Amino acid sequence: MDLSNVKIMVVDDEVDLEPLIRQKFRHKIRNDEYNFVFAHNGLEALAKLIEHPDIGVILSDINMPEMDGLTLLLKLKELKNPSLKTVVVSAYGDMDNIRTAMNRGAFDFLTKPINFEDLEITINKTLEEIWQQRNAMKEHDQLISIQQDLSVAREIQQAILPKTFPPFPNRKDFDIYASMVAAKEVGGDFYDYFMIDNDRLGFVIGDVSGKGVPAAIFMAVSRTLIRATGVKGMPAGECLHYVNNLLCNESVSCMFVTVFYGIMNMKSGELEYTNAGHNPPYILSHDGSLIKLEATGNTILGCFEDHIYNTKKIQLNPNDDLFLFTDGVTEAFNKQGEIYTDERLEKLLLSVNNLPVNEIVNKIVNDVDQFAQGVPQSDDITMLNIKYFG
Amino acid sequence: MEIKKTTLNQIEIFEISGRIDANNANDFEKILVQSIEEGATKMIADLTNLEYISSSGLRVFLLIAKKIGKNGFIYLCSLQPQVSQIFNISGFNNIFSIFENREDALSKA
Repeated sequence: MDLSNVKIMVVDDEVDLEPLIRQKFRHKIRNDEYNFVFAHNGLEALAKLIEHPDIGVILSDINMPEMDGLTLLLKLKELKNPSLKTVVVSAYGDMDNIRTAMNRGAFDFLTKPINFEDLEITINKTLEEIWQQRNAMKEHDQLISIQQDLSVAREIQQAILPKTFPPFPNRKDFDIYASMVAAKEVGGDFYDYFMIDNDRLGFVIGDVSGKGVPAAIFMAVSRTLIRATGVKGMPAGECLHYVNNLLCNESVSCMFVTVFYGIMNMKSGELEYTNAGHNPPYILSHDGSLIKLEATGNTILGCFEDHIYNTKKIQLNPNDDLFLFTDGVTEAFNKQGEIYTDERLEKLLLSVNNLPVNEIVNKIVNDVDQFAQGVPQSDDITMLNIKYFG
Repeated sequence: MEIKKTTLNQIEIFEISGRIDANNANDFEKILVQSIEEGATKMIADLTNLEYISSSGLRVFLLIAKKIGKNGFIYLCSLQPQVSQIFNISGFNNIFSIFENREDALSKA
């Protein structure tokens, strides 16, 4: 901050003081280091404050007509402006008035006759204090705005995630459970599911690159487009092809989203899917084996217009689980800097089949939590599990 | 994250070590974008010591590739297995030219 922007007001009824100060500090005035305003009593000083809102330092005499320096201090206190500093100038030995001034919030005091060397030191010290205080306030304001940014992002994310389980209480042919533990700086994970018709369930899990409000908005747009397109019932690959082209227009500075989109046919047990650069989900087979869903050879949404998304199909058996997750699970870190890994997730998944959907998800949530040993999450941790009863 | 930049035959080589995640992706972006603004069109990212890259980091590579466009290239080399896996899952292995080692990348440059 440029300190020459901070004006210094001298309040004194002695008319000779103004030319004296202008003379003593002429170099500093000429170099724009000091910028003085003069007033001759407390009342005039208050008027000048309104006229010059950039006044930061006030040098005030105590004994003045109309309004004295001590009364001025009381009035200044009412302004509650912490970056306004008053230095009182008083007769040598006038300890009573000096004490009163200090108690009324004066920043420092000088004694008359004025020693100009001492005055300069005092002015510089006061300006420095104002500078530090304004800087601290600026940083504080920035911090507040970052926190507001984060809470807006979190609200957007929470608002779009379905959180009622079971989501379709009348359906006895499948069950769904999901969990999203948000990182401090919201990572942009989301999941969603919807009935396309009486037999087919559309579902999605995704992770937006980046964080904060832009990522949250991109997430909300992605989720809305996938749902609106998905309910039309087109094949999975076609759906993401359409959504991708729309998102390419929305994406600024290469923001993108990884998405796994699937359609589960509850009548036939057929699962069709396409994978746009997302971690491959697992099938926890009813017989206890684990199958990683093959990639469809595709990449992220939002960057490459007209990319063709392939659709793959796989047959489910009754009591199979489909477990979907985001990289916040497998890339969680612990104190030693070790990663949770796919292997640890696979090992745990092999031990949880035949458990209800919520227990499967919660076991993994707890295991990741235990693994991290209190190390703050750097990314959202999200899981979605769908059990097919047949 | 640490980045060491060297220049060889007008190719800027970035040795990136540590982790690139949401917390430092912006710094990473600034460094690479600055090079482009100063006129760099040929880049190699040597990832020998890169332990982890999140989607925020992948976004930066994508942004740089788009900024360079057809006037140059950004090649990646020496990916550790766990970083390689992240590139494979996201499909970025098909988008970027990835080489086994720096010599291979330089020979194609």
